Amino acid sequence: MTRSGIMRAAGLLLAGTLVVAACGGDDSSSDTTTAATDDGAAETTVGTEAPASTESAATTEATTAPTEATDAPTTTAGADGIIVVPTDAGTIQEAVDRAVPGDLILIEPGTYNEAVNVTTDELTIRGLDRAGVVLDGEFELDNGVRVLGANGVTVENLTTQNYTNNGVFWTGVTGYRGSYITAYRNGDYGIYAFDSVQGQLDNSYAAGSPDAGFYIGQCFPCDALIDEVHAEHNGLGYSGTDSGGNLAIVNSTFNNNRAGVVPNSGSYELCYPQRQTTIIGNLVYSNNQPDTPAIDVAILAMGNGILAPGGVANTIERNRVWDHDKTGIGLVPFLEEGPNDDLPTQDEWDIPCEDQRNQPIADEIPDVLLWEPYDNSVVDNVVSDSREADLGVAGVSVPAEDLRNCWSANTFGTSAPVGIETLAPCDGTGSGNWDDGALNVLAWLDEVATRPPSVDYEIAELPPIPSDLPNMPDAATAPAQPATDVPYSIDLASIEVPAEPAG
Amino acid sequence: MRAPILVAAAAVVAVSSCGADGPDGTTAAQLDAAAPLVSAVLGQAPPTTPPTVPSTPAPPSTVGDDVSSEEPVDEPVDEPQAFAPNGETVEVRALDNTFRPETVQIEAGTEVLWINGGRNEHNVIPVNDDETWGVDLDGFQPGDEYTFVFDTPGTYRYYCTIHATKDAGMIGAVDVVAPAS
Repeated sequence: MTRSGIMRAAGLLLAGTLVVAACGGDDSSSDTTTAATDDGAAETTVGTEAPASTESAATTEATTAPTEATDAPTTTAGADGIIVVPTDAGTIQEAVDRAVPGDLILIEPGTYNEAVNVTTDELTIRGLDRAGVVLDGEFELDNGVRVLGANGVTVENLTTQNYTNNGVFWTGVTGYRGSYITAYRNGDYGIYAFDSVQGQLDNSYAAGSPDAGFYIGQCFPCDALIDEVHAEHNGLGYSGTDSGGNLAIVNSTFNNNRAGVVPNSGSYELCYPQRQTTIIGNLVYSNNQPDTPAIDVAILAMGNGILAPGGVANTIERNRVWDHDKTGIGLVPFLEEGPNDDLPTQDEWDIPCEDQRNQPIADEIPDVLLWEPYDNSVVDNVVSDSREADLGVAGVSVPAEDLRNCWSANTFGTSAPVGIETLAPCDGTGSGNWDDGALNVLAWLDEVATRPPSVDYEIAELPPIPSDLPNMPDAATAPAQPATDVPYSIDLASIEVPAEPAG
Repeated sequence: MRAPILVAAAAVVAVSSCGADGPDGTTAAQLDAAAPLVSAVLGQAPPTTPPTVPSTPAPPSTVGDDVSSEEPVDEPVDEPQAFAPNGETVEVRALDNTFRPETVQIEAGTEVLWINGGRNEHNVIPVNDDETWGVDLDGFQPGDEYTFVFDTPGTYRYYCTIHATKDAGMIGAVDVVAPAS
């Protein structure tokens, strides 16, 4: 951003009634990103250095140039590359349509009844006040912001609510970032990144969606990070179907959803199986919430903290998990009816998504698929107060002892089967009886019919949006920061088991 | 994640989900909804303006006609040739959120069968607004099917309005060629 741009934005800051009070929020995002380490897959997320503090960055030129795809830019943005809504453009969509790669769209406080489509690369779409800039679908519009095939688009510091589908939705992109977003009472997902790589979702909040509050799916390797987010009162706090590969979910809170963190496999999306997701340092509690909107699987998975149905080679470490009707951390099979392909063989698990998606489907497709949970590692978690088991595993088509999962150094009270860390330690040879206290996941199916049904997302009782959600720092003056350098690097090894929240 | 089911062969029948109506479980109501579209197509002219139907060269002026070549000639325009149904069916699966395969090439007269194999709702909408085939959300919920016989050569592009624009995201195309013989 040029200095004139800063001054112009500063003028907006003074003019806005809500802006001044909103800016100057905490800058915890910069505090949580540190240099990467090289201690192995479970310890390091490959990423880039986070940008310097936005305060200093605001005095520098924007670093992003228009892409080659842009012929003779025709933006009507100011020379500073900023389009202010509604001052310069009457609607957000109008601003987006005018913009060229690298532009910054600044949205003044107000309610915008729009469904914004973005097809231009490297835009930064930013509200000047997270709570005061509200995109409202009024239960009629589909997506608050939908980014279709446009690479490097950042959406930040705003609220999306009451959309029939998603609050913010990226699909088919390389480079995406959603920061300081509030997604509230949306009819499918809160914040949804599909078939997209090199992304980051951080400092965001999602509540009241029947599917997942946060979702990253159909990507391998994803090269993505979820950091410092909070999901509550959704069907699922996090869902990630057929995603993984340098995908980390860290430092976040998932509470009072039907189920907490649920990565899974399935042939209803491409790039199966789900694999290699790292889940570290999260607070996961009380995911038994009976009165949320919920898709069927959320009802079925209800009562589990971290659940990996058919998940492969996930790393689940240093999370604090408590108060669940089923398992705190469960590794279970996933039965898929009416699949679209046959199961991949194990030697196909490492095929990148871009290659696998082009492979032909099987000549013969079974009526059902059983995705078993293989090769997961559950280490150093603190798990308590689970009514069935703090740590659990089950296999159906393959005995649990043959699934190569392991558990070590967890603090827990119960497991199914009994003595799970003796049966399958991560650092040695196991022994014992796998049938002793085995997890009875079949019973879950029988219970589905008796569980509380989904509540319409339009009327579900939700907690109010927390009043202390932080604004992004320096929203009015920070330069455009398109998602060309995400995910930011993070030192996974330094993350500790989080303390219980006060109260 | 949409409506998968965790586990167990013994309980397959007992468990329902939004995807429980598999390809063979399409309801009568859903078929009824699609039927008018299918029957209408089978018995009528091709889509009004297929987006990229190869244009038929205009016939040359008739030598010796009295009509000046500089005046408009009110000659009949060749309509793209339509072909009778050939009984063949090609399948496209609507996953979340991809059509697989994205492009199919068929001979005119072939039926395309779309199956919503995803857990999300989708639709199949022609890019060309003038075309009248396709199926909306209500008729294409998870497990639903939709068929259409393409009887006229051309390229028919389509998309899911929820998960795509006309040229990005969940898009597809049916490339229809004239039968070989």
